Amino acid sequence: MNLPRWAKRTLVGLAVVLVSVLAFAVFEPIQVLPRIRLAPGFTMIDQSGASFTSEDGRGAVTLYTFTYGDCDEECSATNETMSEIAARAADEVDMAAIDLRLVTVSFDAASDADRLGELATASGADGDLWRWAALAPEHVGTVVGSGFRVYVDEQIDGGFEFDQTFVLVDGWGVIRGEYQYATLASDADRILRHIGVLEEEIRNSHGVASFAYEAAHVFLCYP
Amino acid sequence: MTTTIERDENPVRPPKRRMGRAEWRMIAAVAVIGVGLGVFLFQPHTYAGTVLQSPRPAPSLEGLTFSNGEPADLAVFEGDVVLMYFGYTNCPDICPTSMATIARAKEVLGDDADRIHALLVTVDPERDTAEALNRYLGNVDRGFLGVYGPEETLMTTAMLYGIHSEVHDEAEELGYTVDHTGTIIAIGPDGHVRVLYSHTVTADDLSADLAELLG
Repeated sequence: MNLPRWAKRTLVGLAVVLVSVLAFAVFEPIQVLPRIRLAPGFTMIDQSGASFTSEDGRGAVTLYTFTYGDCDEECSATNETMSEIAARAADEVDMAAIDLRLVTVSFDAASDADRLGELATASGADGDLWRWAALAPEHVGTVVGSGFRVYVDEQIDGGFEFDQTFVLVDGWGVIRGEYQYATLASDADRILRHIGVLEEEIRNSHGVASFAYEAAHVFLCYP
Repeated sequence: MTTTIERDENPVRPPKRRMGRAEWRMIAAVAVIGVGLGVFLFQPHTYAGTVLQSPRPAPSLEGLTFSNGEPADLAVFEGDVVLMYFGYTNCPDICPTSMATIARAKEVLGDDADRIHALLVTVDPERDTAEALNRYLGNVDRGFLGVYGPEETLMTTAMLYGIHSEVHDEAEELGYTVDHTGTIIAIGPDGHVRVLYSHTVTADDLSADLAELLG
């Protein structure tokens, strides 16, 4: 069978497209983090006494964790992880490509609002890359519970029962990662690796490459 | 009379016919064209906005009211697409532009426009009564609905949709302004938040996405 040259070329082109699509789906050359759901809108007060809102995080990649000032040893793990991420970020994340922020949210503003600076200093939060912020008590249920979907329950003795969780939010205000101590190993390595995946997407997902990244989302190419 | 049928000990079978090169090429060509057509016809739509997985339904509007007087409930739009925008009628810049973009996208969509429901959820409950919302939206598209209600309920709803708003009391001609997140939120026919748009989205791109969401 003698096909005309244009037909042969079309067939070769289609075959290349087909093989490429299959290879993309199988080998996942590009990985992305899922766009899980909307992060909540909020207004908090940070360790310098300034207002910190969800709009301040537009365009930035923000890692949140949740705690309260009087939480003792049981909270040390999340603080240590946050501290490790803050220390390693400069070397392991392209800080020129993304605006990375770490935020420890206190859901006990009644006790913590006036001593956020002290709590931040004790944990090593510099107020620049890593800051502490407190949420008004009346918004804890909506923002932390319903928005970030982190379980928090105030106890009779004034303490809190809560899930130690990290939540990674992109510049669009979309939750891209959730890390709970009880169910997933939320260590610094894993979170830094995921921040790196997000950084690559932000850095490279422009022009024609954005189609490849959207394809990665369609094919669920998750790390 | 007897007939003897001699058995052929060594029957000569017709030689197996092997497919020639030309036939293999034909099969390969048909397969490649078929798959190529499949890829072309069923290629995933590339959205102009940010697509979300959103495994749970969109936050409810419980406690709020549509500007037509009905209790606000997303369930009445099931099977259709809802475009939700948090803004206010005295908004000087971004809200009119976004509402106009949505109205134009509906026009471009043609017959399916009836399956697109635009909601303006107010971030200014003090001034945005049902009457004010209806008057404002009537000038944009008579099909648009306003959503209003108690300040606390509106604030909670806005938070759950990732919206931040803040009143600015500086003396201005309009009294005060409200800074707010300008995202257009598309809720799919399944009632889940599906796509987020910035106010810079064009009506044509939005319209193409809406057609895709409607399926």
